Amino acid sequence: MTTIAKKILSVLILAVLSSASLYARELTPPLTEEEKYLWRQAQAEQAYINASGFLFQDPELDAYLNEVVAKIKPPDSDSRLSFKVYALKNPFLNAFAYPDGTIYIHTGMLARMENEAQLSGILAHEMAHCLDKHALKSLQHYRNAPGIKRGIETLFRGLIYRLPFLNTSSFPFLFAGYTQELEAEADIKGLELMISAGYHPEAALDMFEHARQELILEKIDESTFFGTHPKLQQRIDNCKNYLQSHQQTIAAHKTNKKRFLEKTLPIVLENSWLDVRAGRFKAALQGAEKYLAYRSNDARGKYLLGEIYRQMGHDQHQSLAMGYYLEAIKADPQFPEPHKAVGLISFKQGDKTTAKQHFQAYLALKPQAPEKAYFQEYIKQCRSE
Amino acid sequence: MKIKTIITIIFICGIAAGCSSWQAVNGPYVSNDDNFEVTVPYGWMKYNTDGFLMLSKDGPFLQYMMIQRRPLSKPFRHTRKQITNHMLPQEAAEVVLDEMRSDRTLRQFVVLSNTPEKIDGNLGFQIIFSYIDRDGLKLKTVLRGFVKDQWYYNLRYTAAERYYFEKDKDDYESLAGSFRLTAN
Repeated sequence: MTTIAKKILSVLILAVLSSASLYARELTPPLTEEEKYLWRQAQAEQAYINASGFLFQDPELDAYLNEVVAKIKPPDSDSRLSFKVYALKNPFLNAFAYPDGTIYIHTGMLARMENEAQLSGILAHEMAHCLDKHALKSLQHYRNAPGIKRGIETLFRGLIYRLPFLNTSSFPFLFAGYTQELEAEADIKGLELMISAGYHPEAALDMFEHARQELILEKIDESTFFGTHPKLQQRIDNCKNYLQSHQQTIAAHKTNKKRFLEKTLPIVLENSWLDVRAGRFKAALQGAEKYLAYRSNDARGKYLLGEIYRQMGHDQHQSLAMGYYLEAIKADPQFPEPHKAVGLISFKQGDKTTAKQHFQAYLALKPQAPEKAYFQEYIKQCRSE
Repeated sequence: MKIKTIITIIFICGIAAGCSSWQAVNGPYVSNDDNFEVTVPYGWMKYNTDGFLMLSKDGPFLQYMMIQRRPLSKPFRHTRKQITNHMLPQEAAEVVLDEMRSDRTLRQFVVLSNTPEKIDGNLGFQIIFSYIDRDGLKLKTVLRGFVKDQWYYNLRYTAAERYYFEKDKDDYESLAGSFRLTAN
């Protein structure tokens, strides 16, 4: 083919592609005024959340989460929906999506997952809410309700849906759940999206089990927690029925466990610290044990385990904690924190020699420790006795 | 109850009652309920309530000083950890910090310093931190605390970081310096 012929062909291909793209764009109807309002509200709330200091910032993890979303997104979906996922530092089990496709997933949820298929299950469920415009439907349902009912709902929203980051949100259903029908719809659509992307759909059921465990751990009554959501068992049954009735056609089996753990293990550690801070020691212990199951000689994991036992505060746990601290020091002698902890336990037990030695080691390894004045004071007290 | 909620209630009650809930106070102040006494610097208004001492000059949303004691057995709101009387001051400070770090309404929470502090001769701590509240205002706080018997005492000064914090910080130092426990 001559150069001129090649150029003409290129121009023709480009013309065909661009007209196809224009045609596709024409198929996507413009946003309605209500949708525009919702999207503006969504973006304002996201700006607020993103500036909160609670985003888990890890470019590698972000890239991975968004890669999974890209695998799930149906090719024929609304081109204006640009799905984007952020991890939020929060130890509780939750995820939510704004109508413009922005999804937030708590570290508490990521930390409990075992594989990519489970992650895809949660993301697919949230994406289903966006694809099927559940936020818009909820808003319309609310607006079309009789005046008195709307008034009560407004009052109820104001009282109940005071959200962690925001005074009030335009999207209470993101946090408190959609109606039973919409949640059930998102469950099934989520399964369909998982299957289309090749993920093992039964992994979605594992996440219900995690939710059940969370309720037990938190001693929350299921009916209170789920409110208008279909009850947990009902959701599990719905999903199981769907999977059974489509058994013959489902060939999806991907779980990608290894890759998932490579990408998310740092979150397990970080999230366990959030659990420690919140005093959720059982949950923290589960996280620490999971982390150490994959990184058995990791100093930070052992230190975390030691901290959990020390902070539980029971006398019988102090020696257990001490054991983990010493293992952490052995695994990484340059890691300062276990020295501080050994010093604290020894100091309280009256072993001032060991305490002084470890406080000094701590300050030598971390001379700019923010709370160094305490340890300088404790060292003085050790010397004077 | 959360401090922000307390302030809001106080503010609403103040408006409803024609601000009669606040009264000028100056000089020695004795809290028989909470077993302490302080000298209140000039120019501060005290909110009339039992249970804690709250003072403000320009309104509690801009600055306030608060002294309260709480039983060690009373759970915190955001962390399930508890302060015990076996804790070293640094450990007690850590529980207080974990309470705040676990509070999702405090955005961009930053600890600026955490040091040991003696309060009326009791070993305790002083934490200075800043955060942005739900209304987007950046606030700075000095919090001194110590444990005595079955009580956790705390002396707090919170003000808008811009202008107000520095303006009235010396008054907080004066108030905290005058703090004395009284006999039961």
